[in-house]
Amino acid sequence: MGWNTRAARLAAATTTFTLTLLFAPRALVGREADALFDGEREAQMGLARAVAEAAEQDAGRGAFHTGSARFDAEWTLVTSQMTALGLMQVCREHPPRCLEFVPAIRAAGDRLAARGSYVFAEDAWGVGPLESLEGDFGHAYLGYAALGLGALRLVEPHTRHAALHERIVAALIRRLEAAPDGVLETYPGEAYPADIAAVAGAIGQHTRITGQDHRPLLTRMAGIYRSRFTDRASGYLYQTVSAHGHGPPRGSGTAIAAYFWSFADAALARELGDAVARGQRSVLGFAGVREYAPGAHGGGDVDSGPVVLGVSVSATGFALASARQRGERAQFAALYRTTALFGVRVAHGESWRFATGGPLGNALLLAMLTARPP
Amino acid sequence: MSAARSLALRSGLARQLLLPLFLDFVLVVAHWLVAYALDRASLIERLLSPSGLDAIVALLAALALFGLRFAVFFVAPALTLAWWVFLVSGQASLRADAARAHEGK
Repeated sequence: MGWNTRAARLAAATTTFTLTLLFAPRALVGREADALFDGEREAQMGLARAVAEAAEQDAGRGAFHTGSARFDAEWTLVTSQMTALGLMQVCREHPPRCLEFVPAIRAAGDRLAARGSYVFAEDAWGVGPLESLEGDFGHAYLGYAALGLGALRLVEPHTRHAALHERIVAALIRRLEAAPDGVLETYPGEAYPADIAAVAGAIGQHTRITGQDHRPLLTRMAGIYRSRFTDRASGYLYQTVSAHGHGPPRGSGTAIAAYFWSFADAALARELGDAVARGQRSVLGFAGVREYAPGAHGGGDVDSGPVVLGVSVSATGFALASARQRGERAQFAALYRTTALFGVRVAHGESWRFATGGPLGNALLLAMLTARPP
Repeated sequence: MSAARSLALRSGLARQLLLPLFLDFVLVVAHWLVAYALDRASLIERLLSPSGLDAIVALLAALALFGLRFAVFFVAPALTLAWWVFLVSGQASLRADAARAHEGK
């Protein structure tokens, strides 16, 4: 058939449209994925500069208005933690450029060490976490603070917060050892495997900082994760656990727990990362991670962010870390394209950030995009 | 075909080929402007804002931005290339008709 019929021309145009749709978007969006995966300096430095600038200006303070004072304060805390972790990872990947980021990591550490950052927890427990470190229960969110302060110690070993970091880690070790079922509550009656993973990660990170061996405790906790906190069918972690049962297995908690466990147990981190990869769905080279395991259903919440077609914003963003840590370049690129498409990368001089990320989203993504193999 | 007619046809074709490129350029610039405007306006903080009006305006702006992004990265490249193939194949058809007419003389 030649070009002499309108039908043939329409068929050729339609074929071109389809082929272009199949291949052009993946070539146009997230082109820096390979450079980020390879840890190239300029790819990482741009986002690191933006996150550092926000940390030094304390951009996270007062930035959140979720309608819940507790969530606002939690997000501020996680912004500081992820800022410290992300910038520490950039420092370790590019040591000669580290000096530029030390003030921002220090500022994040100052906020994590400030009693005023935990007013939300005082409301729940009746006592602040830093005032009750000698106690034997709860406050699992201290794992986030300990990981952030540990990141500061990795960059600045003699930081003035080193003693506080030691006290927090000691308290978390003692509390986990006193919990035979491995359940450490975040708030009274509420326990989350993702938060307990942050506690385990902080303890594993402490070994790297001090050389102290916490292996028996971490091995026991890894066993509990495999036997009690994991949905056998999907490999996803239950979002909540208690003496009476558990919540549904979910992608967001599993993906962030995979990152936290990478500081403590590489094998478990890989298993959780593999489960997240199995929950991945791809269209036209863009990937997202299912929030709920097959058979479980639910909507979006403060943990997952919006859930669209079963895929959640948080699970997709968090999964970048385990994809990079496990050396899965194609998975990382597909997840990054989705992140870049919805994150909307904007450049400002020598730095760049995600326009839809805000202080928390950009700090989180810096930590996930620069996550290093265990 | 006279030289004048051939020139007119070619210039018409060039215009038709360039039109989608111009529209793509307009889309890209609009997308760029909206993206930077929303970044400056702290989109995510406004989306989470307790002020309902602020959140609604931010939501509409975000929808406009994502609409533009889908247009720029998904629809525009595919439509542009498809339009070019459609046009060029039509031109080839015209030339073939003209050649056949010339041989017929």
